[in-house]
Formats: sequence, structure tokens, C-alpha cells
Amino acid sequence: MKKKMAALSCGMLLVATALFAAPQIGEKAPDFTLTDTEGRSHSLADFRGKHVVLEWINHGCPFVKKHYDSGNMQALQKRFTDEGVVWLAINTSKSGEQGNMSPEEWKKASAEKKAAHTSVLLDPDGKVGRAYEAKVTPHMFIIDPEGTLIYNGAIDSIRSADRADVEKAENYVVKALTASKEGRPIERAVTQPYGCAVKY
Amino acid sequence: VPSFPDMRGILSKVCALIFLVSGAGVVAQEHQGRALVNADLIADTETIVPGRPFTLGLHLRMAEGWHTYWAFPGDSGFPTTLELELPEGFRATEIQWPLPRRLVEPGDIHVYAYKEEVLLMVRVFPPLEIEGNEISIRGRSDWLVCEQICLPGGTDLALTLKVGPQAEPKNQELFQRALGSLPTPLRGRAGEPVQVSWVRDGKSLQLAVEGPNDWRYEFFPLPEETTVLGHPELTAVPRGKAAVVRIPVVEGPETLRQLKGVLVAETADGERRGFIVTGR
Repeated sequence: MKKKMAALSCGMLLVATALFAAPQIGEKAPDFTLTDTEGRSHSLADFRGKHVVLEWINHGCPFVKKHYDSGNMQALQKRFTDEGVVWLAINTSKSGEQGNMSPEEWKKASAEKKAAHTSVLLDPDGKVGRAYEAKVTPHMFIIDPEGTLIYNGAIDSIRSADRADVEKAENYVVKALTASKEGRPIERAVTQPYGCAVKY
Repeated sequence: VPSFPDMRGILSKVCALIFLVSGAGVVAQEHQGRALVNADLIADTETIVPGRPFTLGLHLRMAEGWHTYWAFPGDSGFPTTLELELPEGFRATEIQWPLPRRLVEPGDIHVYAYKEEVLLMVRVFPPLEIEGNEISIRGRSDWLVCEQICLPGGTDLALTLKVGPQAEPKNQELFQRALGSLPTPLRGRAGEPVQVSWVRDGKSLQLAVEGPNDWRYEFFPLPEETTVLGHPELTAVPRGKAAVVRIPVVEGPETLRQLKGVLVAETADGERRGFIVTGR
């Protein structure tokens, strides 16, 4: 009987885990290990003690272009990496899909765009994308120095591919990072992300 | 003289960004020499009558395999926009959106979209007196069209209509078909084909639907800006009881008890009927 109960609660636990698989705000962010465009391996756990920004990226997507052609993304990367934030751009495009590039092509694209992220990480099998339920490019996540997920959502408040909207929009990543660094609560920790579907 | 492949490369880049006018009022968004979207502003009459409402439609025709988006696009994409400049004294409704389709993309990404073609309609109310014997309407539409990849498109629109004592119906078949695919409001009165009620259950909302036993339901939400929802899911339907659509609330006010959206029923004959759910 006891065994049966244990099996049952184990089953229920599994169901519960499946239902709440999406990373939750205030809980430990899913750990991962990925290789960057230089062939170096990075784990999220390596960056304990620092804020980490995850930016889902695909340079073919018009919404990503909006933030790179306007210089917005690079300016954010520069500003926050200068302040000690780790900024990881993650590409989850499957082989053959838009945005999947060789490490050499990535290095060239990052140089051309004057990107100022810490690293570009390659996730062609989509494992990390699925763990975070990354839906679009750009989909943004922020993890605090303790490894807790503190933001999941859009880069800003105007859902468009028009770069003229960048200036008018409220930038949720800036607000969340600034609040967390100053020890204030984050007003909007979850927002509806916008962009092109991640090319799983 | 540039070689042929060079020209093609240049042209495809240019064509992804510009829109070529081809024929009367029809505008094509081209990509790599192929029309992805043809956009056209049309009316259900050639002649408008002062004081008598008529309907304008943005007719979008997508290349095979490509889609544009509904009022709420789902996990990715963005809704088609239509801004109209009407003569003074004219009023217009918001876009009336025909029923969308749910498309499921790799990675369990759900989008609410239109394939092939859609007519986004706006009802227009002219004033009782109109100067001159014709009016001109100008507008602007922007959209995102996606297949495996996404491309933004858009165009300026223009339409001239005569003013007279009698309407001259036009594009009737197209407008009738589109009207037939609009959802109808649910007023919570007896005798309506379905009755709905809401329950907030912790981290999710449940929409109970009482209607014919053999209908299948799907809910297309129109969340407020501050609300983030998971994918609506039709839970098992016990025989003779209400069907329940469960909608996870990922983020939203504690006080959220209902949602706006469109409930789509697929009847036993495979017909799709839509009902507007007005969450309060």
C-alpha cells in the first residue's frame, strides 16, 4: 500500500513538473552549458555573482534587425557589460533554418554590427530554447547574481518591426536590470514577448 | 553591365523592401521575384449614399504557405494594421476580424493567423450631407507575413467612390463570404447557441461552454497589454456536461476573472462558427 502511494505521488510529481516546466520568476533559472562561437563552453553556473541577460537572436528576423539596425541592442549590451553584466546572445535556429550560421559567420556578423555582448552561444538542437520556452527573437531573460530568474519577456513595449519605435518604447530590460541592481522590486517581471518565432 | 546573377541578387534585396504597384489599386509585396502579399482597399459599393453605412475591406492575398496575423498574433508575429483617412464627418468602426486559424509551429509556438486570403472589414458611416460627387479615402496598412521566415510589409492605400442617391453594390461575393466568417456577439441570453461562464482557478482561467454535445471548441484570447497567457487548451469533455477551455495565466492581475476573445466552435459538419466573448 505504502509503495503504491509512493508510486502515485511520484507520478503526480512528474505531472506537476511537466505542467510547470516553464521557468518561473523568483525560482532558480534552468542551468545550461553551451558552446560559443569561439568554441569555448559556458555554463550559466559559471556566472554566479553577476547579472546575466539572455537574448534570443536570429539576424534574419526583422524584429532583431529593428534593434540592431537602430543600434539599440548594441547600446544596451555596451552599457550593461560595462557595468559588469554578462550578456549572452543565444541562437536556437535549427540547421538549415534562418539564423543558423557557422561560428565564422557569427563572428563576422557580430563584428559588422559592432555587437557588445559577452558571447554568442549556439543552441541548434533547441535544448536551451525549450528549457526557457524561448518563443521569439528577440526574447529576453534576466537572471540575478544568485541564479534566480527575474525577468521573462519582450525587450520593450512597442510590438513592431519599425526601428522608429525604439525611441518611443519603454524598455523593460533596462527597467528590470536597473531595479534589480538597485535592490528595488521589478514592476513588470513577465511581459508578452514579440518577434519572429524561434526556428526550432 | 552587371552580370545576371548580380542583378538578381540586388533585385531580390530591393524587392524585399519595396512594394510595386501592379494594376488598379492592387499592391504587391515582392520577395525574390515572387508576390508574397497582394493588398487592395475595396468597398461593397461603387457609389455611396449620404447617411447610409457601407463597408470597406482590406483584401490581403498571401502566397501559398504564407500567413498574416489576427488581432492578437499569439506567441509571435504582429497584427495587420489599417489606418484610414476619411473625409470630414465620416466615422468608422475598428477592424472586424474574420475567424483566425491556430497554426502550431516547431517548438510548440502557437500563432493565430490567416492563410491564402482575408478581408479585414471596417463599417463606415457617412454624414447626412456630402459635398461633391465623389469622395477619396486614403489609408495605410502594415503587416507581417511569415512562412518559415517573416517579412514585414506595408502599403499606402487609396480608393475613390462616387456619391449618389443609390448604392451600386460591388464585390458582393467577397464581402458576403467575409461577413459569414465574422464572430457574432454572445449576450448571455437564453436561446443562444452556446452559453459561457468563467472560473478563476489559481494560475488559470476556465471557460465553461454549454452547447451542442458534438461541437469542438477553441478559444482565441485578446489579452490586455499587462496579461500574459499560456496556450488555451480544451480539456476532456464529460458527456452531457459543459466543455471547458483552460487558459493558463502566466502573468496578470489577481483580480482577472474573465478574458476577451473569440470562441470558435467546429460543428459536427465541420463548419466553423465564432462567438465574441466580452470579458469584463
